[in-house]
Amino acid sequence: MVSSTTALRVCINVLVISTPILVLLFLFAQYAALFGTLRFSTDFSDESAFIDPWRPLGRAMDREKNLRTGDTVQRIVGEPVYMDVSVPRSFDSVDVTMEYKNSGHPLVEFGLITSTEPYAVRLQPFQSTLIDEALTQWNITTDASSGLTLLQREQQYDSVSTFVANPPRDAVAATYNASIPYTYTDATYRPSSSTITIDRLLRGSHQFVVYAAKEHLHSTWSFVDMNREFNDDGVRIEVLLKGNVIWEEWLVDDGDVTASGVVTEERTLNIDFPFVEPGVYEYRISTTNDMVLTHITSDQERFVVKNALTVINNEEFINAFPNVDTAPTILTMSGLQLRAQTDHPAGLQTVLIDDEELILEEVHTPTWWEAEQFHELLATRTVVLPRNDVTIVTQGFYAFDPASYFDPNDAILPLNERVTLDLLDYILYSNYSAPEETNHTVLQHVTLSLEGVAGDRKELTFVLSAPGLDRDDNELTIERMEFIFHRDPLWKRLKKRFAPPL
Amino acid sequence: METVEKTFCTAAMNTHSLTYHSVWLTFRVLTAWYLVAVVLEYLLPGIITNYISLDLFLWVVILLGAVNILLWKRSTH
Repeated sequence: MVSSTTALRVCINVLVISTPILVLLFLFAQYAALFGTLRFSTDFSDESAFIDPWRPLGRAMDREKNLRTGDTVQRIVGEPVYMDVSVPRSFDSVDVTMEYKNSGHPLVEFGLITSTEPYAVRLQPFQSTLIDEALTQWNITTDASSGLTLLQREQQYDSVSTFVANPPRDAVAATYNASIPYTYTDATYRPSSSTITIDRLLRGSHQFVVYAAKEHLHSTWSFVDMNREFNDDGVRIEVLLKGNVIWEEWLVDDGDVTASGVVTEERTLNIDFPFVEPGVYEYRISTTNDMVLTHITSDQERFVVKNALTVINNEEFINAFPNVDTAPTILTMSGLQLRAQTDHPAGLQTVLIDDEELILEEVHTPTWWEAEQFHELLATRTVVLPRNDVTIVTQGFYAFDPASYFDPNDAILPLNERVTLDLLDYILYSNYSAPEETNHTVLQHVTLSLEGVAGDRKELTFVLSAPGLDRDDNELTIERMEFIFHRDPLWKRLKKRFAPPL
Repeated sequence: METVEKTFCTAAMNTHSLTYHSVWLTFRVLTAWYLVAVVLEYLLPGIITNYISLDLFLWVVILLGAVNILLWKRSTH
């Protein structure tokens, strides 16, 4: 009897002492991701060691507890919002699951900041109510090799590749997270005998698109370095045809990498291609905000600026350009939305879009204009920048002269939150699957690669973007978030490390 | 009859002693591990709280302590 009691005591001792040790070993293994995964989640009811709540306040509300159900949520009323996540190791990818309520906002994207200097964000589709609706009603054609899906109101194309090669000219198509090479062609086009000149001061990076057919593709680009910031002000100019770079040139810094404010002499770069095939050519200019394009000439008359334009013909820059022409800039624009922002008090002004006013009242504050008649998808408008010193952004094109304007996309639009299904005949998209919807709650998963994220990848900032959320008075109510981080398990990493070289 | 009673009492005493021993040992081990967990959580945030609530852990230790006192009082009467 005594011996059995002693044996039992020993068993209890072993059990009681070894259990916490095993638990601790398990926790260490999980924390160090020895098996290759680290999983954690938040329902916002308590603080988490890994996850901070969405910020900034104002766009993301404080966490709210429902006293009846005991659930805690965080409401998002503006965008973009950020969530900081700290992990003890660096990982290769992360699966994110978010459970939320969407009061009716049509477009939600999720991603992460990949670099803060320069600022870069990688976003992925998260929820498009428009695509979700089309998926239930339209014809679906998928292409496994390209990952593209084509939705057709009435089936006209047998395959995605046929659509991409020969997009419709008499119907409206939208693309989302997918691109189609410019489709514009004009059989009636005749090369112009004159040269167009643009003398506006354009600051920083820009993209220009021209149409050329059986002629010399010729343009000149003059730059001035203002040396306002401490950096290397090189310029990279690329020429692209059908999305492929066909020519590239570097213009090195003027040698002054300080913020001396000394404006260096104008330097000019010539681009010349003899007898190019008919098509849409893109000039992509990547540089810093110290570099200003002072003078552009082009033999191609059809010449537009793509998406973003910064014109600085304003007295703010009179020290750098004593003879600056501060006359208003008049543009022809396509696009159903326009975002304008100035960074100097001298740039506060009322931008005119046809007869509508877009008043810039504060510096560093983006101000939005949206077309009221949204069915006029392909209409052009006149934009007047009375005082310049403003950056304008649209999902369309601008021309400095109405005669230069053309739409390289024809009738293909980027999908945005204002486009409605009745306006479209086709939607081409990639990398999106409809979320699960149950009882007004949306459950969506997304896998994000962490390759290319700057730093040690232990401090990550996730981004939730819902363009126009603050303008359409909708909100997202986040109920739960789960992160599953992935990396190679320890044995695999050891195997890689000690594997003999091939 | 006396032998049966004696055996029964001995068995009961042994059972009580074993229970008391188990609770007392568990209480001491968990108290020590709670302190270790607090230090570990401070050094490696999230290692414990991602899986175990430290508040819950503390309540378990307190309850075990209370049970242990009750058993101890029973054994001394």
